[in-house]
Amino acid sequence: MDWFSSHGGAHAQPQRGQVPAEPVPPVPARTTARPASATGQHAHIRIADDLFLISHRDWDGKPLLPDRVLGLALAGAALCELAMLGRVTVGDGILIVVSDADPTEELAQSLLRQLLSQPEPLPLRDWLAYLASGVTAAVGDRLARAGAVEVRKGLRGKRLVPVDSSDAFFKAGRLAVMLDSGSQFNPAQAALIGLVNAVGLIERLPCVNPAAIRARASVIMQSLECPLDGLIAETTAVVDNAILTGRT
Amino acid sequence: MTALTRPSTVSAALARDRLGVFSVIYFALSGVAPLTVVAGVVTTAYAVTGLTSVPAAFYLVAAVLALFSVGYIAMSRHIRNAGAFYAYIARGLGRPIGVGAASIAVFSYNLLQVGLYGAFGATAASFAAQKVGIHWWWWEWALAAWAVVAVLGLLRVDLNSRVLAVLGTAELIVIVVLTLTGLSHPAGGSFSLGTLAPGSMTGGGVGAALAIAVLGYVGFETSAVYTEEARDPKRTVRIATYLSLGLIAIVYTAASWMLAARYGEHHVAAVAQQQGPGMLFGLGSPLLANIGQTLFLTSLFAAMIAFHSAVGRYLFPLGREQVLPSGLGRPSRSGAPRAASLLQSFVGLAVIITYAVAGWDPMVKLFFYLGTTGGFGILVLAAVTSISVIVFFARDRRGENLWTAVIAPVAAAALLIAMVWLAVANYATLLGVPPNSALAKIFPAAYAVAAVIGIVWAAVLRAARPDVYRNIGRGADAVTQRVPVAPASGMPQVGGSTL
Repeated sequence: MDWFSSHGGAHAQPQRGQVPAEPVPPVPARTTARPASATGQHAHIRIADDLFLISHRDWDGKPLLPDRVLGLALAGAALCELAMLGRVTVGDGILIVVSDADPTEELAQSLLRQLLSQPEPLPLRDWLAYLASGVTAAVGDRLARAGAVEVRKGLRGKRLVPVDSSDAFFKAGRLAVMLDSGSQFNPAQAALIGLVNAVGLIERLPCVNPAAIRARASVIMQSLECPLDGLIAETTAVVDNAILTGRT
Repeated sequence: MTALTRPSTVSAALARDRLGVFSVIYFALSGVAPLTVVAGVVTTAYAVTGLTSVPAAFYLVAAVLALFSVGYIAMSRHIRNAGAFYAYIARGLGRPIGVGAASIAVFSYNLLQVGLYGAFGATAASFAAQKVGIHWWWWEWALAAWAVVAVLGLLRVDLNSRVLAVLGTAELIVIVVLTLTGLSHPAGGSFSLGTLAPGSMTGGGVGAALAIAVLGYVGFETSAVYTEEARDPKRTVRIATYLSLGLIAIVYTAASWMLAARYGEHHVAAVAQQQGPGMLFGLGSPLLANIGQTLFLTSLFAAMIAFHSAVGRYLFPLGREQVLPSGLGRPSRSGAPRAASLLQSFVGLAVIITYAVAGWDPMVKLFFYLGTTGGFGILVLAAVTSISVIVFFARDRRGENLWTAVIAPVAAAALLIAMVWLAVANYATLLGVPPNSALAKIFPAAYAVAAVIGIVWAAVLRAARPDVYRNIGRGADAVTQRVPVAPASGMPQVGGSTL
C-alpha cells in the first residue's frame, strides 16, 4: 500500500505508519521569531542554505567538512525544512510523511516526492544515508539559483563560492553573536545550531568564548521539540558513526 | 495490492553500499594483524614467560570470546552507537562506570599502539642491518614509523581496505606455509600434542597464557562498530565475528603449537630467547623468510594505524559528549578526529623518547610489557562489557531469546572475570619477572587508577555540568524512542534564511 492512496492534500486519510495530521496549535514562540508572513502562508525556511554556507570557507568555497559528513548534515537540514513545513515527522526512528501537500519550494518538493515514491516508510537513518550522496549538489543549486553562490573553476575543480563572502561570513558570525549574547532562538535557528554542532563546527564559529557558546548551544538543543529533536539527534548519530567507522 | 511488493529503491540503493560479511571481516582483521601476533607476540611470549600452554590458551580464549560476542553483538543492534565498549558500558552499568571504562579503553589502546613501535623499531633495525647494511638504532626506525603514523592519522589515510585485505591474506598464507614447513620436521621426529591439551593450562601461569592469547584477538570487537553499516544487521556482523574469531583461532593455535613441536616443548623458550621472531621465519626458505619479515613489518605498521584510530574512536565520543575537551570531538576536513590523533601521536613520541633515553629493551620492555598490558586492559573491558550486557537485557529483554540475553552473557561474564582474576594473580609470569617484582603490581594497578580517574571525573561532571553528565553514552536513542506528539506545522516563521 502506498503512503497515500490518494493525493488529496494535507488532509489525506492516515495510513499505516502514519500519524494523522491533526490541527496543531502553533508552537509558542519561545524566540525572537519574526512574525508570520502577512499572507498566512508558512514560507520556506532554508536551514540547509545556512548550513551549506557555514560549512564552506566564505572566501573561496572550500568545504570545511568531509563530503559524506556534509551530505548527512545537509540531508538532516533538508528534512528539518520539511518538518518545519509540517510535511514529515519522526516516530520510533521512522521518517513519516504527515502531509503530502506539494511544497512550493523546489528542493522540498522533490524531496517530498522522493519520500512518497517509496512503498513504505523507511528509517530516518536510511533516508539520511541515501540523501547524503546528492543533497549537497541540490542545496548548492538552490543557492546558485538564489544568486547566493556562483560556480568558480579552479585548480581543484569546480567550487561554489559565495557571491557575497561577507554575507556568508556573517552567517557564522551572527550565529556566534546570538549564542554569545543569550538571544532567544526560534525552532529553525535551534535546528541549525543542532546541525552545526552535529558536524563539529560550533568550535569554528568566530567567537571569544567558545566554552560559553558550547554550553549555550547545548541548552538550545535541549529546547528542540518533536520532530526536530529526533531529526537532529539521528543526524548527529549518523555523522558520529560515519566518522568512527571512517566512512566519511 | 501490488504496491506492497514494490521494492524500495532507497533500500536497494543503500544495500549496494552496505558492508557484507567479508568486508566486515577485513575491517575487523585489519586491527588483528596475524603476523604481528604469531611472529611477535607468540615468540616473545615463549621467550619471556617460558609457558608452553600458549597454544591451548589461544583456542580456549577464542571460545570464551565467541560466547562473549553472543550478547555483545545482540546489544550492538540496540545501542546503534559506534562508540563500542564505552557506549555499551555506560548504557548497561551507568555513566560513572562508562567513563571509567572509556578511561581504561583509551589507556589500553595507547599501550597497544605505542608497544608496536618497539617491535617495529627492533625488527626494522635488524632487518635493514642484515639486508641493506643500514645501521640505525631501533628508536630511529620507531621515530620514522611514528612520523608516518602521525601524518596518516591526521590525514585519515586509513590504509585502504583492499590493501589491508591483500596484506592480511598474504600474512595468513605465510603463516600457514611456515606452519606446514615447521611441522615437517618436528623435534625428536614425532609430534607432541601436549601443548594443545587443555590440561596444559593447569600448571602455573595459566592467567598469563590467557592474557597473552587475549592480546592476539584484540581488534575482533571492532566488528560490532559496523552493525549500522552492515547489509543485514542481524546476521552480517554475527557471522563475520564468529568467522574471524574461528579463522584466527585456528591459525594462532596451529602456529604456536607448531613452534613448540618443532623446537621441542623444553627448548622452545631458549630458542625464542636466542632468535626472537627469527625462530618462525627461519623455518622457511630464504625467500620465504624475506617475504615473511617484510610482511611482519607491514603487519606491525597496519596494526599501529589501526590502534591509532582505535584511540581516536574512544576519545572522539568523549569529546562529542563534552566529557573531555570538545576539541577531541571535532572532525577535520579529512574526517579524522584531529585533536584525538594529535594526542595519541604525542603519547607515542613521549614513550619512544623515554625508552630510547632510558636504554630499555624495545622488544621485551616496550612491545611485550606494554602490549600484554594493553591486551589485559581489553580483557578487563570485555569482562565489564559482559556484565553490562547482562544488566542491559535484564531491564528489558528487547525480544532477544534466553540464550542471547541471559545464558551466554552470564557464562561469558563468569569466564572473563575468572580470566581477569587469573591474569592479575599471574602478572609476574606474564612479564617474566620475579613474583615479588613491583612491576607485576604496577601494571594491573594502573587500570584501577585509570578506572577511578574516570569514575571521579564522572562524579565531578554530575556536580558541575549536569547537562553533560546526563548525555554520557546516550547517543540518539533517547529522543527517537519518543512517540511523536505533533508534526511541527504552524511554526511562526518567515521564509528564507534562518539568520
